[in-house]
Amino acid sequence: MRAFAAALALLAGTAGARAAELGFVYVGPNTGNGSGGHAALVAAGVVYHLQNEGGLLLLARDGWPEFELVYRELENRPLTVAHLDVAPETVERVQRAFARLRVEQEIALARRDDVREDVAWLEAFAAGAPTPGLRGAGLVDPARAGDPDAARLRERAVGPAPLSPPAAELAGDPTSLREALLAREADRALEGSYGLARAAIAQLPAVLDRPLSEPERAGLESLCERLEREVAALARSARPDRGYPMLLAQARYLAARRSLSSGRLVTLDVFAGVDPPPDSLPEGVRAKRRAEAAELLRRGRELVLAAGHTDEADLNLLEEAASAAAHDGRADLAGPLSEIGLRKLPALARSVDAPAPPGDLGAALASARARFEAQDKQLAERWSYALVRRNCITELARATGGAFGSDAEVAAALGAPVPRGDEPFGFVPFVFFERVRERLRVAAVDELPGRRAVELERVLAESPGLAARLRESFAYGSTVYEPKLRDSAFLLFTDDVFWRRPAYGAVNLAFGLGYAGVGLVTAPFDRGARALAGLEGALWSLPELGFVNVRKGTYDWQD
Amino acid sequence: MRSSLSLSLCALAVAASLALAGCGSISGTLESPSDAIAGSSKSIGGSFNAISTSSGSGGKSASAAPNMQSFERDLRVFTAGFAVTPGGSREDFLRGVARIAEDHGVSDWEAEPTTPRAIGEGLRDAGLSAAQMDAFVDGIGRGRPEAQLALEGYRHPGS
Repeated sequence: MRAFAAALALLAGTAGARAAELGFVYVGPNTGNGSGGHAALVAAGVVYHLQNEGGLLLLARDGWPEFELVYRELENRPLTVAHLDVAPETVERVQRAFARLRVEQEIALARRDDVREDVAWLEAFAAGAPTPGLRGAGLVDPARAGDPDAARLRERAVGPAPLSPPAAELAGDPTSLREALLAREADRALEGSYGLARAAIAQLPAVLDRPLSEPERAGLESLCERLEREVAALARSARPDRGYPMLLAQARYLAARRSLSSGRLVTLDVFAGVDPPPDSLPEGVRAKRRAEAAELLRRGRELVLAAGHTDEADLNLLEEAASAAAHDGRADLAGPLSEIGLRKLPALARSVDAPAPPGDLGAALASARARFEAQDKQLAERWSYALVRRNCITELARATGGAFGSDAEVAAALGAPVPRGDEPFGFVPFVFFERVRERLRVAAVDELPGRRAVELERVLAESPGLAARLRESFAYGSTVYEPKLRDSAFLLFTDDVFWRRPAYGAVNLAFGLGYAGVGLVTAPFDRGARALAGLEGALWSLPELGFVNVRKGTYDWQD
Repeated sequence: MRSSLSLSLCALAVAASLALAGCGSISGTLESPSDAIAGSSKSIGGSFNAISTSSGSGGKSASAAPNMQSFERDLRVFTAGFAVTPGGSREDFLRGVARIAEDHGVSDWEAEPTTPRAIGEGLRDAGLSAAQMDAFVDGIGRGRPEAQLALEGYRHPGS
């Protein structure tokens, strides 16, 4: 693994530097969801690509290092990067086009989320049930009113005069009602000096709970001063949704004060209230992720607290690292990746007393449901995934080309119009990438082999000869790969051979069918897992008969 | 020759795997559940690296952290789009700003100097005239720092 990392670093030294500009990336296929290959655009170190999330084709923005880690190392898929010869303003222009797409999608999804919540609230009102939890209200605890740190915040932020009552009326549409309720809760928490809710705190393992250093204490003092100013400003803000940021600022202040009084780091848990998905990983991976989270927390304390970088966005990163450490290293609980950390804000919810809106609840509920259906339909019409008409390639091409006003402009900037997804076979990643290479102003092409290829090269350099080559060509004899059911059952690797590929494919086909037969016998004990792996193995052998390799094997995240 | 061979190979690959191909999600449909954890950890780690090499938020675009550059760009395009789309209310705009800010780990966007600057840039992109911008700035209160930042963004938008 160390050797692989070193080899990767050497490659990254050249490819990574170029990835700071503009280029198209082709990701080779592998079994599962990546069987058709994938393509992306990299601009200034950020990878833009479209992914099928629950039937909608949504734009993802990943940092180059994590994109490379997941696709190239763990999924073992070779990457090819075509670097374009472009002016710096072209890079910014393309990034802005993808920002437009991202924002358009974010706002549309937010509107649907709001209406979905409206429906849930109106259903609760109609049933006479408690309303759903208010996001962020659970960070503080009314049962802990009169907390000395909270009283100090109130004194510093507001002074002795009572807070003015919330201007917003607790009526109107459900979204406005929620905002007004949250503002009311934030004001109540400040006025009543609510303490920090126990469930809102990230519970760090004892081994990571080291005392605060002097620079960290100074960073926390500075953070408290900033939060006092922000809470004061938010208490007077005309922003209708001021309640959530105000509650969050109060909770962060309480956590920082508790850190200072206890001498140990106390942070909010960004995953509080999140139902963790099942954790079926082997202990080796768990150990690795625990170690990684511990290291992230150490670096976070150093770079955020000790260095005094306690702006909200940076503080949020430290909270994410601490929360991952508190949850057995599970940094995946936040959902989709991002190029800028997880960006999961602490938001523990709590249900509060809420008056039902005036008027006909049944009619309001029917109207909200109709709006939700309309929003859903609109999203589907605009971004639903369709294998040929709208996939990761067609939209990547559309967004890139859309950065420019005309074909002449795009030709001047990139060398030619971006290949379109509706050209013959234009929706196929490999075809699209070939056209990019042929038509656009490509300055250089980097071939970045997958993990197995890199490791294989190292092994064969250390032990040249037919015996080593033969051993490594077998999935069950290889020293750089461990067979896994999710990779499908196969005997011979075919990604590093060409003329022998059909013969190897025939062997793999027979092996897969045989494996499936054995799997039928073991089905009562493994719920058919082996039988399925055997059938999949046979399926992925079929392209090999026609000289096409898809299956390459994958890796787990461990040494 | 190379191209036609590639095309035929590709067509075969597509035929073989058409039913299963499909722009899979990096986080939702990974081959291994450990991929998401690895990627997420790497993402946080990469962001820490950015803290150590940037001059923090609120400065000019070129020196700001990548996260703040991204926030500025997103908010700029949102403002420009909102300004030229009829029918949006003040609340719609503020909720949009809040959503974009949270996407970058910021809840209190009013305290973030990048916010007014990006709004000024977006208003310029939307084609607001200098006189209209003056009226906008007067509406905020010309002497206030956020008004000056918005004006700065309008006059000197990032490249």
